[in-house]
Amino acid sequence: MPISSYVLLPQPNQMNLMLDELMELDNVEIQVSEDQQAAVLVSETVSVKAEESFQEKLGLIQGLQAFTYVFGHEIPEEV
Amino acid sequence: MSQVSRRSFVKTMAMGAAMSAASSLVPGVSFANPLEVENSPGFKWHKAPCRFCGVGCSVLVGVEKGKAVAVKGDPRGRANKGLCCVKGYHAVMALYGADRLTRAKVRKNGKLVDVPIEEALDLVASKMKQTIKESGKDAVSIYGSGQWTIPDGYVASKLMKGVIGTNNLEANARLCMASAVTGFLTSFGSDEPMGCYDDIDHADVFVLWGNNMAEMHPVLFSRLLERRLKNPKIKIISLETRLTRTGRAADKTMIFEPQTDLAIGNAISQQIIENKWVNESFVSEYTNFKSGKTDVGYGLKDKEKFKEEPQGINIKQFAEFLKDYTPEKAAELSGVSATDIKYLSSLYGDPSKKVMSFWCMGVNQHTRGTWMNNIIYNAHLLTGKISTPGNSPFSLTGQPSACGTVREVGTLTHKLPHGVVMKEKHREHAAKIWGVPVENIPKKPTYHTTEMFRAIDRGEIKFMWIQVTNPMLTMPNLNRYKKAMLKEDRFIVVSDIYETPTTDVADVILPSACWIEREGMFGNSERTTQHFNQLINPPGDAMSDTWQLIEVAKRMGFEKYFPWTPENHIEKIWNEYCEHQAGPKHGMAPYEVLKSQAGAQWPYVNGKSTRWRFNSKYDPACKNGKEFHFYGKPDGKAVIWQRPYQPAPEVPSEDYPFWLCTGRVIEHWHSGSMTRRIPQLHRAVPEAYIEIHPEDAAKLNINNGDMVKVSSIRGSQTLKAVLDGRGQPPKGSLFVPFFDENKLINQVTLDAFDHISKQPDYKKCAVKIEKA
Repeated sequence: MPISSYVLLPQPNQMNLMLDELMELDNVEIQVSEDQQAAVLVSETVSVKAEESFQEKLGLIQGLQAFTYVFGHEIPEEV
Repeated sequence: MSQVSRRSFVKTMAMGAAMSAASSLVPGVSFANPLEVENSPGFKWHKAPCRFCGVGCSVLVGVEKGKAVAVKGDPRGRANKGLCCVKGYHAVMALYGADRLTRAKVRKNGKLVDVPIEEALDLVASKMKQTIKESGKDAVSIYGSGQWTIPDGYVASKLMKGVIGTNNLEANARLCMASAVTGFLTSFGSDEPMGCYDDIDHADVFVLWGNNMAEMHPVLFSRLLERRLKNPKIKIISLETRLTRTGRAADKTMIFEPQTDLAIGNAISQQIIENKWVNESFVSEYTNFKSGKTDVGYGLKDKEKFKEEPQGINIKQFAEFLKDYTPEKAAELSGVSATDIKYLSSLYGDPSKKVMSFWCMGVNQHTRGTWMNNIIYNAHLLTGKISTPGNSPFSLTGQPSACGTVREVGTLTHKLPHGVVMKEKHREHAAKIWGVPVENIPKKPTYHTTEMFRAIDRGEIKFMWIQVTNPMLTMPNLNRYKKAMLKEDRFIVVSDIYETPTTDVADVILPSACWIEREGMFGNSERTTQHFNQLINPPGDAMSDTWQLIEVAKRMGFEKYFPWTPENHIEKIWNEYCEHQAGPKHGMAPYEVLKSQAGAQWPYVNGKSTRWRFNSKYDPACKNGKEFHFYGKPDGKAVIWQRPYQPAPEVPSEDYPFWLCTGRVIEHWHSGSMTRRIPQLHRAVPEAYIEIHPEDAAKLNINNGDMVKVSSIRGSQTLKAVLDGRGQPPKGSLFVPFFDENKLINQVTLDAFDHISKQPDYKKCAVKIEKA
């Protein structure tokens, strides 16, 4: 059960569009910076493969300029 | 902590790490409700320095039920102010790779088999004694590391130089920092930066000399970006041989032909003099001018010797020499326009701007690395921009204790904990503290690193003990040295935490305790020493490198020199080490101070760290009654050195038409033995690759992702082509990261080195490529 976090940078003035799209994703928590320049996202997925698939989905989010992977930790499934 | 709250805890950590990372990527961003990490009974944060690079970030390690489970930046940390990079956040995971070495191994009938640790230690001691008896004390050697803790290096130095009586002690910092040391010694007579990280908060201009800070020192680089964000007049200039993440973030990026930084640096001095930007009172009061020997070779022959022949010159003679380095002439050599060179010179020359220069491997891994260090100092000395807040030539280090252990303790063939073996006074000082006859310490250095491995090849060294480093991945011209290690009557001991290409050639492997599995100290780039407690137990039979050395010393009959217990040895070693460095020029902070603080800077005098050396306002060691005192030199004056441009020993040719540069990536630490076992980092960059300019690739019908064979006269390697990666070499140049043990790029590199520092140049050799 990987838990990972990302920094997300929106295209200029596209934070709301990016957030709308992100809300469609399952099992994510999002915090937006006070100046709306960046957001951070924590994902929880069922497997490493699912996390990789999640990253592919992230890459297709509208309004997103760039994202960078920051942290990852795998918790055994029974936890 | 319950299972549910553990998940919650990890998610909170993940969010906190991302928030910190966001503030380093986009300086100035903040979040309304910074998350507090959930604490629970049994969970506790402990201070430690980060395990990885030389920045020396202070971290807090979360420990629960005897296991390190989390890392966050320590807000008290002078270097990082609470931030970490991606390696730092994952640091504890490096301890828990599935194949961690937990038992000693001994080679029997050609195979490494598990043995009790006592048997392995007995064998190491008996082999060391036998080799000394049969072949002499200079037939045994220890090769350590800038990742050694200070106590590791201190015990190794005492054992080899004081007790056994050989100077066959070297460390891998020879491969990364030696030119910085000789640069400091030749210009100032005293090693390590005069300034500190606080300079970042005062400087107006940052000049990065071949230093991809954005990847190699990302937390410090974020401080530069933050300073610029708050003050748009701040300029970041990056000189580099390929476009890097640093270059992309800089205000001005100058891509130069490899080796021609020598010409650009001299052109800056030429412009400073021609435009009358010289700080004349500073130069006349605090500097001398000298020229050195110029017919010096490149270290390509075994046993090549060099002796400097300094000649005093004056500023007129220096200006005459610099006529060969007008911006126009430097432009012809370097490919950087004369306009850009003049602009860069004007930043150094403008008396209203405070300038900080940074450099690391690009300058130090250079066959004229010492000269390049001198040339950068020249620009600062000519303008008097030195040793004051914001005016700071700052050599960065790569490893967490390259400064603390290798440079300060002196784990190099010519060094002692205080001074050098060549000076009787220094030998007497060390012998007195060690309680050994002064005659025990030989007055002649033996082998620097490259020569030490050549001595194994020649059979002069028959026993080598390697700790915390992986030379069978990192030595240049690797094929020669790997064959040497496998010769029949050589005996190789390797202390490490995982199997590596170096353990592959070992006769004995000793499992080591890593980082917070033992107590220790690191010393970072800005003269700060950081202590860490043992926070968790090492796995299986693993023990600290310090204690392995002590156990072997005891077995060799040297117990009286190491009369310490497992409980008190680190404190006792620190106190003994401090005796060597006592005094206002290099005094170290007491043990109890290090235990209680995130770090303390030397010289530590009267209960205070010294932030700017050689400046009488801040440095109690200044005794000449003037504003500055470069007390490392007998006359108190720094040296402006006349150093010419000379070409690299191997340049692209018809047969080998490309330059090859090697280096690191942010995700991996050095040879990857730790970071490749952290799944998140491994997945991010799973293998080494080769960066090629798209036009060069098109000519050779190479597409992104194709396998490419890169060859030099010494060897070849096959790697995946990257045409649109994070770095972009110019046409005619290639880049390969060296972390991948399955893609040993050092089979291709050249073992030429700087004639003064003996540091190899990993940044330049001639190669060809073809589609595999």
